[in-house]
This record gives sequence, C-alpha cells and structure tokens, in this order.
Amino acid sequence: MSAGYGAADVVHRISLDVAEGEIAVVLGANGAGKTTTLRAISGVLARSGVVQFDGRPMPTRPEDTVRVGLSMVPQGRGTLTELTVLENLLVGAAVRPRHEADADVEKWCGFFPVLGERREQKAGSLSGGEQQMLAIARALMARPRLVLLDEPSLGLAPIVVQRVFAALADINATDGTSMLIVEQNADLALRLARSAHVLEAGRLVASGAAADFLDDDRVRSAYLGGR
Amino acid sequence: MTTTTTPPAPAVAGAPPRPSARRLRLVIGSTRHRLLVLGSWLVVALLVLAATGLEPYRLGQLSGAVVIATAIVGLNVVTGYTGLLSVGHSALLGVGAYTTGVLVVQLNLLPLITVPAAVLTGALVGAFVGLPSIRIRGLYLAMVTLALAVAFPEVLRALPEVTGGNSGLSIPLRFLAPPAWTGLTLADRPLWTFLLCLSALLVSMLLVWCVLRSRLGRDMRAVRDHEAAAESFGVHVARTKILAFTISGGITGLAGAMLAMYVGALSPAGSFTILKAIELLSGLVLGGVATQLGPLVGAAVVVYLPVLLADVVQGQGSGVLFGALLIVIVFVMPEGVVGRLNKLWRQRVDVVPRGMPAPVADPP
Repeated sequence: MSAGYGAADVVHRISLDVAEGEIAVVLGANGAGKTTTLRAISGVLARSGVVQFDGRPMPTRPEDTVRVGLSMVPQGRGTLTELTVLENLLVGAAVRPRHEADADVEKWCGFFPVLGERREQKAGSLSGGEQQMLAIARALMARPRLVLLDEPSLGLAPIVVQRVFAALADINATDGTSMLIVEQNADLALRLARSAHVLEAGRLVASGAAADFLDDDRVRSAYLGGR
Repeated sequence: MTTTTTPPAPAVAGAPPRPSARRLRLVIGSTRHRLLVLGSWLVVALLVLAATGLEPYRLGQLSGAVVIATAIVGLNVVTGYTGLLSVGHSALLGVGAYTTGVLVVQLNLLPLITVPAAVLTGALVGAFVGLPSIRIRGLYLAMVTLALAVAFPEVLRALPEVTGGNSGLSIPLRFLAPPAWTGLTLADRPLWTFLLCLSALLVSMLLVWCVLRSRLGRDMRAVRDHEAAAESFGVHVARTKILAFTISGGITGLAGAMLAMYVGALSPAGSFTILKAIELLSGLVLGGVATQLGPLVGAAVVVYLPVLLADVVQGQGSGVLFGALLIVIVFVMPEGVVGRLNKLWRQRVDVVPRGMPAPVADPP
C-alpha cells in the first residue's frame, strides 16, 4: 500500500498484517509516515495498493470502513469538545442500531467509571487522560474487530499512559479486539504488542515479534534510540 | 420532592463552580422541574397575549422582529450548530419571499398556499449552496455564500417579467387580508400577520429542537467540533452538511414567505441585500450562537435597538452608537446574551436525569 498528500507519497509500498485478536504496533520517528498509514487504512486519506480486511478489500470511504468493523482513535484524541461525554460515545456508534448503542454506553461507562460519572459533562472539560479513555471507549462503541490507535500516549503523564495501556491490554484479552497501534513510546508499546513493525521515512524497514525488538539491542539502538 | 440542595459540588475541570455558590440540583421529571417548565410556558403565553393587544404599528414592528428571529433560527442551523459560516442567508430569505410574491402576483394564489412552496425552494437553494461546503469551509465558504448574497438582487433585476425587476412586486391587499374563517376583518390584518409569523417561528424552533435531539443534530455538532475526527468515527460529513443547509434553507425560506406577507411589497434593494445577511449574522452572534433562544434575543436587538437609539440620538449619530453598542456587547458577552445566561444557569443549577447518583467528591 502507498499513500500520501497530493502528488507526493508519504508511505511507499508498505506491507503489514494484523492477525485476528492480536495487538500490532508500528514504531517510527516523527514524519516516518505512521499517521498517514493509519489514515489511509481507515479511508480518510486516498491510497493505492491493496488493503484487505478479513479476506475482503477494505472499503475506501471512512463511514464504510467503520461499518465493516474498523474504528479509529485519532491522534490528539479527536474529542468533540462541545458535546457531552455521552454524545461523544453515541457518535462512535453512528453505524450501530440504537439499542446496541445504549447497551454499549453502559458497558464502557462501567469499564471506565470516570466516563460514567461525567457522562452529562462537556467532553472538553475532561483531563487529557480522561479524554484518551473517552476516545478509546468511543472507538469501541462501533463494536469494531480492529481498532487503529494513533499515539495513544501522546501528551499524557507516564502514570496515565500505563493506565491507558493496561486498559487496552484488558480489552484485547476480554473481547479479543485486534489493535494496530502507532507509537513513539516504544518500550511500553512493545510490551503490549505481539508483533511490531518499524517505519522509517515512509518505508517499512523491519517487522517481527515484538519481544524480539525489546531484546534486540541492535534494533533498539537503530530505530528506537538506544538505552 | 426529589430535588435536593447539595453542598458545594466538587471542582470540575473546565467548569469550576464558585466555591461559595450553593448548587441547586434539578431532577428532570420532578415536581419542581415540571412547575418550572409550566411556569415558563405560562409567561410565554401571557407575553403573546399582551402582544396581541399592542397598537397596529407596534404589532407590525413585532411581526418584523419575529420574521427576523425565524430567519436567524434558520441561520443558526448551519452557522451555529454545524459551524459553517454563511453570509448568503439574505438570498435564502429572498428566495422564500419571492416564491410567495411571484406565485401570488403572477398566479393569483392565496399567500398561505404558497408557504410550502417557499419552504421547498428555500430548502432546495439551501442544499445547492451547501454543496461547496463539502469541500471548503471557514472564510472560503463564506466567500461562496457572499457571492450568492451579492448575485441574488442582480438575478431579480435580470428577470423583470417574473420578479418585476427593479421596481419589484406588490401583493394586492385583498390577498393579505385575514381569511373569512378566522372571523377577522381587514382592519385586523396586523394581528393576523403577527399570528402567522409567530406560528412560523414556533414551528421552526420546534423543528430545530427535534433535529438537535436526533442523530443528525449530534452529527452536525460533531462535524462542527472536529470534522476530521467525526469523519473517522463514521459520521457521514457531506450528507450532514447538505442536510443542515437544506433544513436551514427551508426555515429561512419560511421566514421569507412571512416577510412577503408582512411587508406586502418586495424589491431587490429591499430586504435581500448583503446587509440583511450581516444583520442576521449579528443577531445570531449577539443572541448566542448555537443556543435555542439566542435568535429571539438577537432579533430583538437588531430590530429594536436602532429604533430606540434613533429616539435618543438624531441622524448619523444613532448608527455610530448602534455600532459601538454591538462592539460593547460582543466584548462583555462573547458567547452572546443567551449563551451567557446559559453559562450562569449551569454554574448554579445541575439539571440531571432521574436516577442519576448524586455527585461524589473526586479522588485527590
């Protein structure tokens, strides 16, 4: 798959797989094309090449990709600030019938109690960590089979990042939701994920089991900044 | 009584209540809540009743304000709730007014019968204006709608056989008289017009109220808050924008039909220039963008304030004073009059659905 803005491709002929029920992570520096990759998969950005989902070609329009079971936690959390927490969640369920949405609101407000307490508040009044929880819950409201997460650790305190990643691990373990996470926080992401990919200047330069990346000093120093 | 007064609520980021203020908890469906709603409606009914007793000139002026309020309710749908700046609503108002005017004058139809046609043409032209909003927004969209506002009077002038050209259309008085079934006479025309305009306003506000509670209303505000994010959540952005423009155009077209009946005479230089679009926008901002009662307050300000000022200051001075006052209002209340009142209300009162637990203190 290739994708970019205007005439210039930002990612060049990359190829990666996410197995059912697995968490995969894409690592890379700023400008490596991580966000572009996610945006192209979800259809927000035009792409060339082949993207398959569950053996079928992935639709090219965002509302259709959500319908087939893909949802997105956008970079910067994508909080709808003037809407209440409840309305934010319901927007995530735009493609689901109403009774499912109501049941899922209860489910995720139970999973993230802070959202339940604040459900009638404007989402813009939440803290950064709470907004990230909201973004994750909103993505899950679509009952996705694969969630794309764009730098869920961005701008959050380390303790909050750990909480977010613990929640992701929990959701993956309970519901079997597959996840493709783009991250700069390599250490934490590699511990969470099973497979890992490294992007450099729009090209995929390494793929493998996440554990190998953690152990491999050469890979660490080359792509992730050595310890 | 399910209503209780709670001790100072915990500080919540973004909306800190005053530490000293005692917050009132109002449970939806409780006796106190019902009384409050009933009381508000009673006040509205009394005000309307008082208005019908006004002398004909004052009543006509009020009808004018009600028409402007309806047009602002329409503008609020796109600019307030969907976040798409439109400077072209004078044209949508004109489309509605001229639909009624042309059908009455050229085809001798009764004005009331033409109202659905005015709503329809307003909605169609609205949808058409909405098309560019799929690709562009902000100042660029404002430019496209501005072009519509500038072109509209010229289009009227270019079609004299239909629109009467520069001299416009004059609806014969017999068409504007109250129908016989109302029991009103020709002398009661101001009252009849007022009741019509008021009904149009109430219907428009009810429609917007329903839209806001629907999925479409939520999608509109989602698009306004964060278009790129809303798109990635599966919100159909293009459809949402077009529908917002269609509803907005329909309501503004309705306001135009009412304007035609209230004024009785239409001309390109009259109410459909860019100045009218700016008046509607000022009213929306002053009353409170994306508030349901803001258009009423905004219309009252833009219609009555210049009149009041003209009594105080002679000649050009009143225009300057009006401008200065607008600036002051925007500085003191950037969220508009109703926006500010809503904020003050929220700081003091918690309106909660039945069965919500009482707020608990935040963990440190």
